[in-house]
Amino acid sequence: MGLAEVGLSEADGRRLRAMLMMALADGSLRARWRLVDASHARVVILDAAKIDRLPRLNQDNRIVAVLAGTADSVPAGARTLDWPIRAEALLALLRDAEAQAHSPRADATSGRPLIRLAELLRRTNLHATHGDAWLVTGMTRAPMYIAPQRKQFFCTESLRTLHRFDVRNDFEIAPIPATALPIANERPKPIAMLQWSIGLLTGTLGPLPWIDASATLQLQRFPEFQILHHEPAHRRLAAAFSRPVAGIDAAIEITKLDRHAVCSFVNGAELCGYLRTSDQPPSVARSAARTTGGSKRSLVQLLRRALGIETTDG
Amino acid sequence: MAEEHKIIFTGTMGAGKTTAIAAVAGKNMLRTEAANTDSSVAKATTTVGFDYGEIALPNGSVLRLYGTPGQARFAFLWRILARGALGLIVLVDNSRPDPLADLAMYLDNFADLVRRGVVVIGVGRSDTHPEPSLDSYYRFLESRQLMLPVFEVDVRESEHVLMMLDVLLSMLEMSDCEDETHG
Repeated sequence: MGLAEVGLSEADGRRLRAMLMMALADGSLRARWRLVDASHARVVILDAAKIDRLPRLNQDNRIVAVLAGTADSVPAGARTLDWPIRAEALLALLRDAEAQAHSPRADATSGRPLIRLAELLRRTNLHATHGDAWLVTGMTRAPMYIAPQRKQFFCTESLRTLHRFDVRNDFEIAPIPATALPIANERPKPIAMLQWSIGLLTGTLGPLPWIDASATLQLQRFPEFQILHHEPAHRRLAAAFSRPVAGIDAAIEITKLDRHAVCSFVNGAELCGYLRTSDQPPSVARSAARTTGGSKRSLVQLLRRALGIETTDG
Repeated sequence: MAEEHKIIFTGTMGAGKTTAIAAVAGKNMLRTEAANTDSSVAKATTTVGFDYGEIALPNGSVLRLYGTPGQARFAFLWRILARGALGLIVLVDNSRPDPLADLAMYLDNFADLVRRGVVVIGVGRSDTHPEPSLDSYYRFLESRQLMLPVFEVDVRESEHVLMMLDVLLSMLEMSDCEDETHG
C-alpha cells in the first residue's frame, strides 16, 4: 500500500520515513507499505499549513490525516494526526487503512489503480495519450512498460502472471520518457493483449465506470482470440454481442454466464475498442433466454465434446 | 435417433480447406484431389469434388465436414452442400489479388447461412500479406451490414481451426436465441 506526505517539513518527513521503516522491520503492519506519490497513495499525511489541498486529496476515497499542532486550524470532520508524529498514532492510522482495505465496502471500492490503468489504456485508442510512455510496477514481478503511441507494451513475464493479480492490491503507474522504453532488449507485444487482460481483471469490480450497463451494446469486431488469453465463455459472449444486446443483465440472461464473466468480457472488449453502444433495437430479446435450453443448444454441447473443445457450464 | 449434421468449409483454391478439415477430422477424411492444372496457384494438387471428413458423436450421430471445391464454376455444388448445413467457415487467402472480392463471392453464394449469421471468416497468409487488414475486412462487412467474426489464422494449427469451429458453434447457439425470439 502507498503512503504519501504532502507539505511536511524536512524533519517531519525524515521522522515519518524512519517510523515507517521501523514498523515494517518489526512486522507491525500486514501490508507492504511504501512511500509513493500522493496520487497513488492510500494514505496521505498532509501538513496543516497546506490545508487548502485537503479537498483535492480527499477525492478517490483516500485516507487523509492532517498533521496538526494545537494552534493549527483544521476543518470539522477532517482526520488529524497530532504533531509531532508518534509511532503509535502512525501505526493506528495505517492499520485503519489496512482494515478498510479488507472490509467488504473497501473491496467494492478498491481496484482504483486498476481502473486508472484501464482509463490510460482506453485513451490509447483515442490517440489522446498521457505522457510518452508508462511504467507499471507491482502487478507482475517484472516491470511492465507501456508504449501508447506504438500500441505496444513490454514485459518479460507471461500475462498469465497478470491474470493472477489480486485487484485489491496496490501497484504503481508512472509516466516515463519514451527513451526509457526497453526497445532494444525486449520484444514488444500488441497493446490489445494488455488492454484485454486488464479488462478481464476489472470484471470483479463490475462494469468499468464509463460503461452504461443498461445501454445496448454490440461488438464492432471480434476479439482476436488467437492471440488473446481467454476462456471458452468469452467466445460465447462474443457471439452474443455480435448482435445488439440490451445491457449487461440481458447478456447474463442470454448466455447464462455469471456477472463476473460478462463484466470481464465487456470490460476487455471495451478497452480494446471492440465494443460500441448501439442505437439498433436489441435483436436478442431477454425473454429468449428462458427458452435457450432447446435442442440446438444441446447439439452444440455435443459437437463441442466430439471436437474436443473445452467447454464451460452455463 | 442418429442424425447427420454438417459444417461447410469454403474458400479459394489453396486457401487451406483440405488442411483445415484434416486438422480436426484426422484419418477420418476422404480427399478428392487431382493434379492442379491452374498455373496461377502454386500447389501440386487441388480438390476436384469435395473434401469430406467425419466425426462421430457420442449419441451415434455424425458431424460431417465438407470442403467445397474452390473455383467459382462449382457454385452449383456449393449451394447443394449448403442445404441443411449448421454453419460455414470461409477461408480467405490474403495473398491473392483481391481477397475482399473473393470473400464477397462466397458471402453471395452462401447467402442463407450469412443471413442466419452462422459464418466465420478465417484470413490466411496475413503474416506475409498484411493487407487487407482485419480493419478492412470489418469495414467491408459493415458496408454489407454484417457483423461476422474474422480471424487471422494458420489452418495448419489445429487450435486455430478448433477456435473457428467453436466460435461458429457459439454463433449457432446464439442464433438459437434469435430464432426462438422471432419464432
